[in-house]
Amino acid sequence: MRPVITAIRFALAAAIFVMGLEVCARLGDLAVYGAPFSGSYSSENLFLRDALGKRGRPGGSYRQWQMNSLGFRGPEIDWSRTRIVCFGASEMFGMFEDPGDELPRMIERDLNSRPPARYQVVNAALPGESTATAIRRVPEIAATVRPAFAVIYPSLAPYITLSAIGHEGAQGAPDAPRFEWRLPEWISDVVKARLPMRAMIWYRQYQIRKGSAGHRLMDRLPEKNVQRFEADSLALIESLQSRRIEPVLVTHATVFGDKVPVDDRYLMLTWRAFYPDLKEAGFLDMERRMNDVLRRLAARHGIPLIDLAAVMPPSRRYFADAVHFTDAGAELAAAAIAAGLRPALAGENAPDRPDSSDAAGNGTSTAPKLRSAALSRHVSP
Amino acid sequence: MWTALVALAPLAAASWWVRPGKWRQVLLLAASYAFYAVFGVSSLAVLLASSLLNFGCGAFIRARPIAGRLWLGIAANVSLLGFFKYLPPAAAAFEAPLAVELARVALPIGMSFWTFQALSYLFDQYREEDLRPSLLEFCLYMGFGPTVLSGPICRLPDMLPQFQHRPPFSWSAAGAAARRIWLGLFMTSLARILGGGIRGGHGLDFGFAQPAFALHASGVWILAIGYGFQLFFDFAGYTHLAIGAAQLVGFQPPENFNRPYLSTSPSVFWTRWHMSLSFWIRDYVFLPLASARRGIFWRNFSLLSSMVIFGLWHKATAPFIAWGAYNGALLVLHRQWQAAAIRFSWDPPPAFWEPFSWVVTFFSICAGWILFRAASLKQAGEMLTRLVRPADYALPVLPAELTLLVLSLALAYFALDSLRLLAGRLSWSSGGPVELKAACYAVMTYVIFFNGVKPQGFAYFQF
Repeated sequence: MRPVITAIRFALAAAIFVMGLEVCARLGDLAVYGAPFSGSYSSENLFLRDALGKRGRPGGSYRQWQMNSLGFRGPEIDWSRTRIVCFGASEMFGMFEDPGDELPRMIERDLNSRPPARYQVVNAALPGESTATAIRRVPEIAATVRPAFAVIYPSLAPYITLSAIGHEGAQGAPDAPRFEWRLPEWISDVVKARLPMRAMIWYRQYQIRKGSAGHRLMDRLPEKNVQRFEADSLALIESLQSRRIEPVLVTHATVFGDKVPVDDRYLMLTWRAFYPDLKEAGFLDMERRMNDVLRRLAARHGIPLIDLAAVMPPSRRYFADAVHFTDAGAELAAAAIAAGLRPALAGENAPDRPDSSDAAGNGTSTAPKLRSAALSRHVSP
Repeated sequence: MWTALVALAPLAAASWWVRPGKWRQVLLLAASYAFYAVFGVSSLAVLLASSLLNFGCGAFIRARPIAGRLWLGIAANVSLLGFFKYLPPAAAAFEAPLAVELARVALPIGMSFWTFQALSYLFDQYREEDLRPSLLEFCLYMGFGPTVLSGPICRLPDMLPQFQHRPPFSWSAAGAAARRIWLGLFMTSLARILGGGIRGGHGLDFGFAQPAFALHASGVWILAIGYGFQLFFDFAGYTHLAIGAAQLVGFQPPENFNRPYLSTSPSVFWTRWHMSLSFWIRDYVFLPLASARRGIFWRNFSLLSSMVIFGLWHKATAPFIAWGAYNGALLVLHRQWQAAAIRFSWDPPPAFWEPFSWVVTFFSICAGWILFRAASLKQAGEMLTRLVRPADYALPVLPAELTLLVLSLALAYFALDSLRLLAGRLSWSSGGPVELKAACYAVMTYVIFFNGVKPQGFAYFQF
């Protein structure tokens, strides 16, 4: 009888230990992020699913991310200001920056650095969103935000898997909050933060092997994928222009530049773990070709282009991983984007802009001028 | 560091089964040196040189124990410590090429600790204690892995028998050691949280970074008490780690803390805080100095001087010297108070007097931590000035979450320690029903891996 009682007591102790950790995880979320103690608390708190797919949940919040009453990350709309809406994926939405230092907020801060503050930048980006999905959101965003400009900073990697394009977020967690254990996510965070680099590399390689099992690996992104990206980008531009919203294209920047340094190999592995079908060598080629598409579209259709891929120094000072900005990176990118926006904004508010002399004014690429301006202001030796 | 510890753990564990004892010492020394080399091969070279030098000095003194030989040994150690610890900051004030080179000299980690161990060995040889370690044993004494970084400061008479005789392996002792390591990790994590705050950026580091004019008396008290606990959790936690690791390989270094914040006088406090250094200063500085002459003035001067050396041991900067002098003054005041109480036969009821003494002691010691933590004497002076302005007590304090964090941790500490004191052996990690222990370990595990703040180093590694 005694061994049975001992076993029961130890089983009870184990259950108490697990429940204790779960309670601590909830109290920790409450203390650090103001999260509710009961109910579910995951990144799904930020999003809703509707007929068009994933969208921001009005008033949603999770960790450092807060949505406004319209479901956009950032403050409420200030109708007295000229609004600039930002499209993109997690790079634009903001992942690693401190709250309030994500790219759209930085652009707004830069544009309003000289009083009076007259611009509001609305963060309509959503993690994982492709250009194809953004097109579907344009009518609603145009109606609710009524922006004058749209900054398009597309994530290119979703086009590696064409079959998934346009379906991002169509399936996912149900909207209604339900009980969810917080312990697994806490354990995952703890392990990720403390595992030695070698173990993390091994884990990423395992993820890639598992993700690509049974698939044919691509050395290079097929041309049809690039064409689809071009078609979607053009459709987005036309959709915006038809609503009298002036698009501004931004090329996609990565930490790598022209090649992957040995020290950054892990960052490439981490990136590839999300898209295991494309070999490492294909990623930089993909970035080059798809950024060329954006440059071509801008030149052909007279759209302002900010060549961020050329402006951003390939340095881990500016990127927290392969593609997401650090605070310093967001600041530098914002300076480049704001400098590129100013000519267009000057056309909108010509008498008020003291630096309107920068304006290219003809809708052609302003990249060289932006590059030198941004670099001279922000890149110190 | 943690990777090295995990990698070397099997080597250290193997020491339980290696025979004869000499090979055990070789294995432990190899593991200790490999661990220490993680912090720089040049540091290991200095440790080795100091070990050889002091082994030689010890033999030299033992051959003829005269004061001149002892002073020679002391001078050699103080010079070596001075070159690495005190010269670089002093040289930084000059621009000459040699000064620039000297300013770049890095202090080998833990040098203050193992230099004091070497000095105690020389004193013991001078006192003709029967200590004849082999070179291997002496090197192990100086570089023993668990204690080489930040103490506790060991004495050879305690360690030598442990090097020579291995206790039988026991799972219950290993379990107790593991529990102690877990408790150490928990306490150091609490220190990290106090420093960085629950939400990154709203901890004590933030508070001390505020200009003094932005702080008010209540805020300064919160910072002083908070830092007192941060330092305690950090250093006492580290000591638990060090002692737990030593116990895992069958050794018992001296204890370093014994509920210091429950002390009811400064004299008691200094027998409970950083005990291995306190007792070292008492045995090798205060007692020889105080016994050199008779009289109250000389005794008080000895107390004050000993505590100034205590401060200097940490760093040769004005705030640390002032901190030592402040604590010396507290000890002198307490001694004078005791003398006056005896002289006037004043014997207040303990029920009133002990809580009152505890309050006075606790707040006096905490006020001293301002000197320990402040970036400069000016900042410390400005902060301490706030404490004596009654009008400042009514003004707003620091961020509410920092105040709440400090007060809740302080209250929890006092509640748990008082409970342990009242209940005798009742301990939240080693006693009580298994279900209660499970709940306690859940909390400890969560705190150890708490992700809210960025990692920081151990505070005492800088000394």
